[in-house]
Amino acid sequence: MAKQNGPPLAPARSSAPTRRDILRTGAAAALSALTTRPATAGHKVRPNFLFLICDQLHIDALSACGNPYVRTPNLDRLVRTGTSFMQSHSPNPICCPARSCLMTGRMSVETSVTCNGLEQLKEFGLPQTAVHFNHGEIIPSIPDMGQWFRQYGYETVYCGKWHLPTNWAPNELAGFTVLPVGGGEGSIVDPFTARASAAYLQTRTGNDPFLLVSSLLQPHDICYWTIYNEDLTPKQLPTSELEKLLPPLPPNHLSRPAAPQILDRSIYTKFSELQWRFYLYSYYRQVEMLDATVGRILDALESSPHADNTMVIFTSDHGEGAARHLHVQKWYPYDEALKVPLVISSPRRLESGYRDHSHLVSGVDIISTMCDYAGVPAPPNARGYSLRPLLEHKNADWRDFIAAEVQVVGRVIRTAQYKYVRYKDDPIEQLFDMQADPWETQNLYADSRYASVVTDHRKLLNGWESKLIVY
Amino acid sequence: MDVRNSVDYLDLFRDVLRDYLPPSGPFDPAGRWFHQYRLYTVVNGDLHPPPVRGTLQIERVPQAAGGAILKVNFEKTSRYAGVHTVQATVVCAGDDLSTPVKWNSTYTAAAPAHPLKMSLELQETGIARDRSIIIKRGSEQKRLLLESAYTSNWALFDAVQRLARQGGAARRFTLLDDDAPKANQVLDFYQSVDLKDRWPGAPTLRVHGFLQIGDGIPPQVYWVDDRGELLFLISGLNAFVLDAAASAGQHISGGRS
Repeated sequence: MAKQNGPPLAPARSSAPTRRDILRTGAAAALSALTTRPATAGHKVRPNFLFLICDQLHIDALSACGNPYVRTPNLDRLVRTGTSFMQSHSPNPICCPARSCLMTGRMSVETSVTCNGLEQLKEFGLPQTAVHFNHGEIIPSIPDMGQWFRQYGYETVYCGKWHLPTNWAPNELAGFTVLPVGGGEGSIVDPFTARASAAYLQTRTGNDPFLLVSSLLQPHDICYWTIYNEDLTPKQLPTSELEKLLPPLPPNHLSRPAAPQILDRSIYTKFSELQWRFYLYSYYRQVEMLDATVGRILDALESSPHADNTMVIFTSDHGEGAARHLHVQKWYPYDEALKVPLVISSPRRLESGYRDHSHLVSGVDIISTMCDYAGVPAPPNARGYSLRPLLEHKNADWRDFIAAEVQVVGRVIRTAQYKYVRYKDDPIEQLFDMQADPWETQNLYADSRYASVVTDHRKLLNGWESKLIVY
Repeated sequence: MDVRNSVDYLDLFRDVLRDYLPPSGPFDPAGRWFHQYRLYTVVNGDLHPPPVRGTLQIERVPQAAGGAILKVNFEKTSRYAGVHTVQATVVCAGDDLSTPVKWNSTYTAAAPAHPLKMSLELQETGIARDRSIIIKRGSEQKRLLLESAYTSNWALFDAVQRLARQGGAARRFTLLDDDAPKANQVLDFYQSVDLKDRWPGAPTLRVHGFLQIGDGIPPQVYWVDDRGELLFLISGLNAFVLDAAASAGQHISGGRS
């Protein structure tokens, strides 16, 4: 069925720095990264990177994607000037694991960041032995994006949420100089992240190309509406004006396809229909807060000397339940949590306003893409593809499937037509025909007509997992 | 639908409001005043009571030609790292929305002992001219076209104190959230509440709420007392609560007037 068992395992080129090199230079570089250094030969043709990561943005929650219940003029601007991957998936739809994948190009089972904390295992009823866990940090033998690019002469700067394991960026990171903004709540911290990022873009004086990661917290604030504060979602509305603005519920709102036990435990049942619609309304307002913040950073970039030579990459760590399958937040292999926006814009290099609806891409592709444009090797054993052939509309022997992990023991294989889900030690697997049933309402796993499809997808998953390196 | 029930979130901050000490004495919303608010934020289970995350000071200085100057000092201590401040001076028109016509602000971030060598200070200015606003921030300049009435988040702290509670039409405008325009805002009076009826032991205090909904904000309620003084703004996870003792007789530079 598949031409190959997933992306190639990128071998390290002989010029790639060793782990020892990274460790030797990382700390000193963190202190000196923002001082002027001699220009690296050829640096003028190497792009800068502005990597914008947000938290919990569903791919459909943009007005540019036709959603009439949210207004995102700044993200729409990015969509208009860039390429949007409409089949973009989180490697693991949970904050910490997803971020470990974005930062390394490795799967979360490899980075050891498979959950948001060991207490989460208890919450899910999973034994602590189900996971190897390095206290929420990426295991030291895998370089992160900052460590990798710094080795190749990039000035690497981080601002905002880190969450590996702490949910703010500590004052020092091995691979990045940190702009200190703290963490907590997006409605308060994100404007500061935007301003710190803007200040950096407008005042930096170094000659080397830069990698600035601006990691925003919104629209994650919506989490607090259900975790702690049911008072935030009123049983009745204060004004009929508000009622007119509430989005309708999605067609799969009440859908409960046969699912592994852990998924059945994760549905949210405390809302009335009105509360669900108010939840959606509130979520979109958080998205608009994110949009305003992104606008500030884009404005600063566009008015800076770096506008022409900076590639902007925008994505989210994971999606949002958005009332689908009775879900809030993330944690699920369903598309509401798994699919995320991925927009790449580089006015001098790439076509504007292009939407790729067909190619399956993953968050692990981002670092490989950046390396490709920077002219440096991808990190050893990076699991992603460079998206460059897709961005430049060149014929590419593209992958036939992507893999994702979820809730420590869950695995997902997504092919062009199907999504297959398997949880360790759970007899119920899932198979959805994503073309005939994009809302994922019918689990075809037990339908004998799809037995061979299930078998094929199991093979893909087994083959994929056999290539992963679990340290 | 019963519209008498509220989205005021008062209960979310009950541990703060139940023991609230309201201001006393005369208050003229159109006069000179100084307000200091504590910012409470409810996240990560910090509910009872929610922690103080910052301080907002606003001073209103009426102008002889009409309108007023608002001096703003907003300090936010983010979780885990540093202090962020926004200091602003806003010249406002004397209309219902305290429409800002000219302003300047400075953003700074400071993290003691941080090894950062670069400056994290950003100057911003804005001026309304020819049905547009020109905003300059560092080397950046942008022009926002004005297609409707507008005001800013800081100016609303002033404006709501003079709004009619009953019989006034809803205000519709674009909100400048700092420099980000957020359209389709509606601000209207919707209900009064006696705090003592809300929670046992709460002060005898009647507050009147103005609800604001619109793009890019959670539904939020400005609560004023019988004299119009803005006591609480409750906006999603955040609450600004007037510190009456710290506000009495002060001005923005910290001295007594």
